[in-house]
Amino acid sequence: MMNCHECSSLLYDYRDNDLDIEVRCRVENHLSTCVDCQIEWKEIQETMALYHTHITAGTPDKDLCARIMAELANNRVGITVSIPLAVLGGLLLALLAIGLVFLLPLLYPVFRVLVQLAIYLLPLPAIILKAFPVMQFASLSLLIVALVTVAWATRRATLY
Amino acid sequence: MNTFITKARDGDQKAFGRLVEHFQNRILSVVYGIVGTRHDAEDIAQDTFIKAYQSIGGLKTEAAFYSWLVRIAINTSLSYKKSDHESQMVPLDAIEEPVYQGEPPDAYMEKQAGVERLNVLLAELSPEHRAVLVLREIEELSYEDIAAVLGIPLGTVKSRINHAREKLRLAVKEKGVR
Repeated sequence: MMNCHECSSLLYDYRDNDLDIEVRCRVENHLSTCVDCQIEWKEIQETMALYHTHITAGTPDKDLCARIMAELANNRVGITVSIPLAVLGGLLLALLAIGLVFLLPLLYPVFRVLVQLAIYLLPLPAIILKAFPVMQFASLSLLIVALVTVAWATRRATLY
Repeated sequence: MNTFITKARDGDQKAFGRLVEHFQNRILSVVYGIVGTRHDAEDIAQDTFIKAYQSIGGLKTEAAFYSWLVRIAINTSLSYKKSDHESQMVPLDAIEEPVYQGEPPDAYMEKQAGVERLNVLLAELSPEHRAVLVLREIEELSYEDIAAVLGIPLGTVKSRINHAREKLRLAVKEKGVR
């Protein structure tokens, strides 16, 4: 025979129809004989009915739909960069182009040295990886983790 | 409805407008269940639909539209509750008033007091608890669907729902809300 404590712990599952038939029958049998549990069951039903009425009582402002459509039509949606930001970006690009014209003769020798240095240093990773095979594993694992993270983040950003 | 969803995915604003008309009541109820004021709920519902329009291209199937929309509504509401808005004052005209249905003035006053008390009781629940409660009681989603929408384990869903319902029952019993 079910006791009150057990019955009380099952009342929400009983309400959700989330009990197997045998347990459900035992709950119903207990409810038919126990006044305290009947009161608790009634309170649960009344509380949830009150909650339902409270949450669904309001109706949306009749202009809500119109406001949303106006917002969409306003062309604000879809534009992620504001006009002042676009102008600022354009100005910066222009300054960069002008700067490059004047600075290029000065920067050219530096770039040349850097390129030579890069050419000498390029085989270095291959030499290191060959000398330490464990690093091949580590770098490959890191690459896979980075790819999976980027794929997950992109998918999540697309969903929301 | 699937036709409107397909057209909306192709950028048809009118079709999206039909979706807004069709789903606005349900989305508003879900949002209101979490944030607790009609005034804020309408703003968040509006944000929800705009976010949905912006990202509807990423929706995989038409059948998933509503659960996807609810997920946006829930996330927007929870973000709102976590932001500074919570600490702001609620304007006087945002305080809920029950619909007058021709009852005697005393009964209406009692109903109004009941609504205010229920709002206070619901405010004692965390937004996460309110989210599971509204998805279960209003949207009638299964525990599995709620877990999928909120991205939390099934056990957490069950414990949150039962905690929220029991807390509400005891509070209603103690404070006599009718």
